[in-house]
Amino acid sequence: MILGLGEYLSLATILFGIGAIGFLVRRNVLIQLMSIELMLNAVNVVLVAVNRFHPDNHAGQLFAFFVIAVAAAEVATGLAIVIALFRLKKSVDTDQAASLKH
Amino acid sequence: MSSSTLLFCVCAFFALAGAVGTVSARRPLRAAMALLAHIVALAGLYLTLHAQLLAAIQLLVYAGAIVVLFVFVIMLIGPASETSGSGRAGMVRMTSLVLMGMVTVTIAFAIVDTDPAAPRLPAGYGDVEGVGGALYTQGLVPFEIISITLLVAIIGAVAVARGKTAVEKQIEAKEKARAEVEARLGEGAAPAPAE
Amino acid sequence: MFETYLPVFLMLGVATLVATLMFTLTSLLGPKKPTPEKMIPYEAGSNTTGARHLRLSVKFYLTAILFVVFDIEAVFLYPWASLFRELGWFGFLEMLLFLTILGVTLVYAWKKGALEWEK
Repeated sequence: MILGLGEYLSLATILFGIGAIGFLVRRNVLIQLMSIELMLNAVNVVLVAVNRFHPDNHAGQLFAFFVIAVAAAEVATGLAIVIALFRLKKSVDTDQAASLKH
Repeated sequence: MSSSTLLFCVCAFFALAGAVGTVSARRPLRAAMALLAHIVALAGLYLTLHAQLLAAIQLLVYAGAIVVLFVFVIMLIGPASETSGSGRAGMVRMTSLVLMGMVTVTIAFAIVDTDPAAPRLPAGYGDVEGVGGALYTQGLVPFEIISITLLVAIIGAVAVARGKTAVEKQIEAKEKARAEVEARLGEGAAPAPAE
Repeated sequence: MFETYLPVFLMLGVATLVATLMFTLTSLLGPKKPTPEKMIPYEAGSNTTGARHLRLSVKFYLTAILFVVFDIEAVFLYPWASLFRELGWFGFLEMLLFLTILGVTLVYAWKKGALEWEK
């Protein structure tokens, strides 16, 4: 077995799928945020893998670099919102956050 | 089987197991630990793709900062961070159909695309000099925008996490009013309590 | 190229082995004579009081956020530092702008009292 681009792309698709299902099915905000991280990571695998098979420049790795930095910012903001939701509803269940106004 | 293939298989297994564990764990703390395993496995995958710097950064930022942040918030929320069961049958059926399609197309591509020869890598591919050189010349504008993104995110996070909710403001106002009434009932015999 | 990482993998393997051995051997070899008193959580010898779960303050979260900012900063500083001579003055100004904007973040958090523990 020789590793090609296809193996990496298949793995990344499955990982993305697991993340997407987790985001849609779970009702715990914390686990939904973790599922978003899974999806971002799957996209990073695609970026780095395609860059490996077209290695003229580092565009894919740079993109993955920036995705990681943006993910950190996203988690910081998202978790702050989770804390605010918890203080408001005393719960982290997304079904509790169904109204636009409290 | 070459060492690269072996590393890919081990890392792919742990990445998948970690992802499934994250999504299916009932306790958020277990999910965070599964996410950690997933992230470490992905760092190994980046090594098989000759992205050494990115593997190190993945560990530093994801394992070092993001998982820590998750664990902090789980501790902050305490036992309420566990929510009871989940079940959205219609949603599951619809998304799994779409995702099955995605996976089928990708695996079909992997079978059809029989070009196993990975191109020879230029010198310095994926190491600190290579990626760093590209980052500070080609990636100049995104690099500066990242700092602004972080600035905005932190301001938002601090404001949202520290700001008082309407309920808390009401409670505070009530307590203040009660304190005033009690002070008035005390007929000013005692000096006003220092804040 | 994986010969380069052989020491890392060796260290990972040895660390995992030592940790697993320590935990399994102590639980297998150590004598266990549990009594009801021994099974109580240890809290300086006195009876335990208070809630089972310790609720942390939001201040810890704000400190963790600042840690994330400086983590990202360090991640971007490392390749810059190793390429400092090639990048020259242009790279220096670039990094100065980056650090100034992140500095504003610190000043904001400071003003909001994220660094104060009393109160």
